[in-house]
Amino acid sequence: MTVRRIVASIAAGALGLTLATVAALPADAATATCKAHNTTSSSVHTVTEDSSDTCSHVQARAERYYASGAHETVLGPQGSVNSTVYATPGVSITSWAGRAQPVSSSPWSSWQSFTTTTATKTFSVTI
Amino acid sequence: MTRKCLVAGAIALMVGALAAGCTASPEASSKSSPSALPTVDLIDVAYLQEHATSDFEKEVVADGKVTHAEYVEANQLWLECMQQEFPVGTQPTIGIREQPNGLIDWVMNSVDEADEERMTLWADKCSFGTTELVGVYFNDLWENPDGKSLAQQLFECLDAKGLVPDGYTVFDFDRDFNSDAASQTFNEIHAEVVKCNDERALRDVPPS
Repeated sequence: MTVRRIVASIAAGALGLTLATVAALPADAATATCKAHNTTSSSVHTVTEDSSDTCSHVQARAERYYASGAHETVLGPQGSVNSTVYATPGVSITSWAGRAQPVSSSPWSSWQSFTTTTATKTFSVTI
Repeated sequence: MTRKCLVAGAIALMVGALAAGCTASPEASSKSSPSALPTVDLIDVAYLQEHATSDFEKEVVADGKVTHAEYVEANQLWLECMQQEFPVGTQPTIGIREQPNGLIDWVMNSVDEADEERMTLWADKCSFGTTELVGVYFNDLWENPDGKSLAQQLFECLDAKGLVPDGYTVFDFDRDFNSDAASQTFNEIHAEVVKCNDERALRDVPPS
């Protein structure tokens, strides 16, 4: 990817010249989007790319709490179509999320929260 | 997917051939005709061989197959990379955990937002050359056996339980499954859809 760096020169009096990078923007910056859905119960959370709008990859995430008070963040296996994370016996899930990679090798989108009700999320990434 | 049928010759002689030779679109199939959604695009070993970048990935795919042991090794390499940023003995800790089905989760003993952001940043960096290809390959094998979409799998589960309403096809189901405004029929069976996904997701069958 070509990167255009806009560099501004700032005179700094007797101390000389300071160079400051004020922006670093991809010359061909564009926003790629794709849609994904969730199928979620109290124990299973599956993120699925939209069948008509394929994402390159998807990934599910959960925050799990144990009766002991321990807690953890779990990132499920990344998939081309689906990604699933689970609760286990004695573990409660308080947060489900998903993210997507609209284009192969592009950055991933940020995480977006899902709930146990049916929901669709559109994931955007600047590439 | 619609197959096109090209018919040539004298119309008067083709009536019988037309009936035998043209394939109807799936949408037009009757309930008694087997029909299925198109298979989904998954990565295969040929794709891995074409896109392998690290020495590890190239070595793994050189023999034209990827074993579960190599999948585990990919995740261990990912973990070693992560532990450069999250050293052992400091908090939070990062680990990998194998599910009963053989797939591997990435786990951190924190739900702090800043920790999650840092984990995500480094997880992506560390996946390059380790799990990015091999991990997705194994997940796809398990999530989408035979290239079946999730909608196809869930519809088959509902059908096996006799829960598919009369006249409601797999194509209707797929449309609703991918819609923000599903039909009343879908909403009425949604609880069963979720149960089917639970059953599917909790099966302990390793990818193969």
